Amino acid sequence: MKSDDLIKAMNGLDEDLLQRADAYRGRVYRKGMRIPVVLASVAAVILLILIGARIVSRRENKAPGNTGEVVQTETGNTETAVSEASMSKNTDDRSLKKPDRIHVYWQDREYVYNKEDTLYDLVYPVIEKCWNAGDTAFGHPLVQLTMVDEIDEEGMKDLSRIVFEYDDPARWSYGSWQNSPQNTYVFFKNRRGMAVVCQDQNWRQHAFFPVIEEDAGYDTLWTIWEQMAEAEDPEMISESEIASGEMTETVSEDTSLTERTVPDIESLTKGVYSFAQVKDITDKLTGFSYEELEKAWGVPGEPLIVDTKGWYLHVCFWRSGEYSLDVALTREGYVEKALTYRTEDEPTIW
Amino acid sequence: MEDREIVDLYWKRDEQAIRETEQKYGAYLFKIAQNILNDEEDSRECVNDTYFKAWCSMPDDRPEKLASYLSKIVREDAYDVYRYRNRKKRRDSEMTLSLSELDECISSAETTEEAVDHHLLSEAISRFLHTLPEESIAAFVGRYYYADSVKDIARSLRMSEARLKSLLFRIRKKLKEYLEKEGFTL
Repeated sequence: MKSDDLIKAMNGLDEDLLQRADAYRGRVYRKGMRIPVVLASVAAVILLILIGARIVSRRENKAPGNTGEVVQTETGNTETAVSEASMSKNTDDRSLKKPDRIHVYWQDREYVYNKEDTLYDLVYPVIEKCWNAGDTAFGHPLVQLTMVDEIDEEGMKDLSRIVFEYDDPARWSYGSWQNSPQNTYVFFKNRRGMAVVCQDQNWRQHAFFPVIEEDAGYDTLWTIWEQMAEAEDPEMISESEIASGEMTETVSEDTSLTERTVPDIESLTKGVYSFAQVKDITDKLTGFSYEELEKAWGVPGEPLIVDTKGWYLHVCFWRSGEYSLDVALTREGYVEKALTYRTEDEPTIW
Repeated sequence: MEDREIVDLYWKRDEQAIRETEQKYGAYLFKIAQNILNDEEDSRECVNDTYFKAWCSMPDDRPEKLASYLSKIVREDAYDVYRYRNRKKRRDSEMTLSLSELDECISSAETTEEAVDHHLLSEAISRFLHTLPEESIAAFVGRYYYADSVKDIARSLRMSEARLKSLLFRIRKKLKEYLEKEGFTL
């Protein structure tokens, strides 16, 4: 048999297969095309905020003493992000007055960031950065945002977090890789890209690097990721094995969160979880309330790591879409077993 | 225009059928031929032959999915041209590369060539592909049916070229094992 026999035989493939292949490629490609749409949407938010602020500024200039005016802009296009421009500019300098809240309308949903919210602090720097960059021209921030390469690491971090966090159905899966006894890199991956969290030996997170396909090193990371995934033992670790460890919470910079013993590991069972249940399980697993953890760790979705006799239990909970609980067991920084509890899927192992 | 309406035109012997086909699938068919032949003039000729063959085969045939139906015609036509041309000189085309990759699956023993029943082989490959996940089917069909470049497939599947190559390598390996298990002499 020669290879051209195979090529010729391929002509007799099921039409169903050809259609499925075409449909899949089309679907994936269209999804991928959403990335620039997202970036453009974020850019549109910034631009509209700036335009709104400029309008306010002009009005202020025309009517001295009239401060704090709020200009609200809207569009009928639900795919376009629009912001309530509650920022105003001091006429004497270019400093940006922080709005009490930022509204983002994106994909039929409204996201409100109040000043006291953790996410506000992530969104605002991007806006501020663009504001500062737009000193000479309004078009400039748009360029800055759409050309990702031109954003510095901090800007990239903020932007990626916004993009990744609010890609509604997207959820991260993750693994970890240790390159030295001191540092462990935890990979978070979804279909858009990967992020790497660098943690020190005390599991204290100290860096966050979003990595997208265009970035140098993406392929290397993918290879590592695949090797990790392929090395996985498909057998699920028994819950009794987990339960045999004395689980203590070890990471916190908040002095109120000191070491405590996890009271009820048996509550960790496969299943579908509501947000209330996730809160409850989190509490039982860690001894801390969800609110305490959110306060201590910031954005939900970041891992909570619990030490159990050389094993580390990662608990991730998500608030995009429905709530779920992801658990990965790792030892010495390597992913050994992983259980994933999702709200709509059967528990999966990778 | 819907496929069904275009097919109706063929059945009515309305030449508008060719124009509609060209408008809807011209670029698609040209891409397939060009992937195989790497020659614009030959590719255009193949596409025109495809229209003619479609005109001759309908009525009689009433394809439900015109794209697949036409793609098979143009692919077969382009492949015949390719083989004819390659007897004289091999050219650097995606088909050449994809053929050389598929060589890994089989031996070069010419004694078995005559025994190969292409129909059975097609069925076996289809059965094998049905066992794969969607992503793998798309990658394999893209590479070995459409002869698309690795770069194009990787872009459309939103994966790196390195990952795609690794995926294709694994599929070829599995296919080889599958065909051996099915009794094909490789």
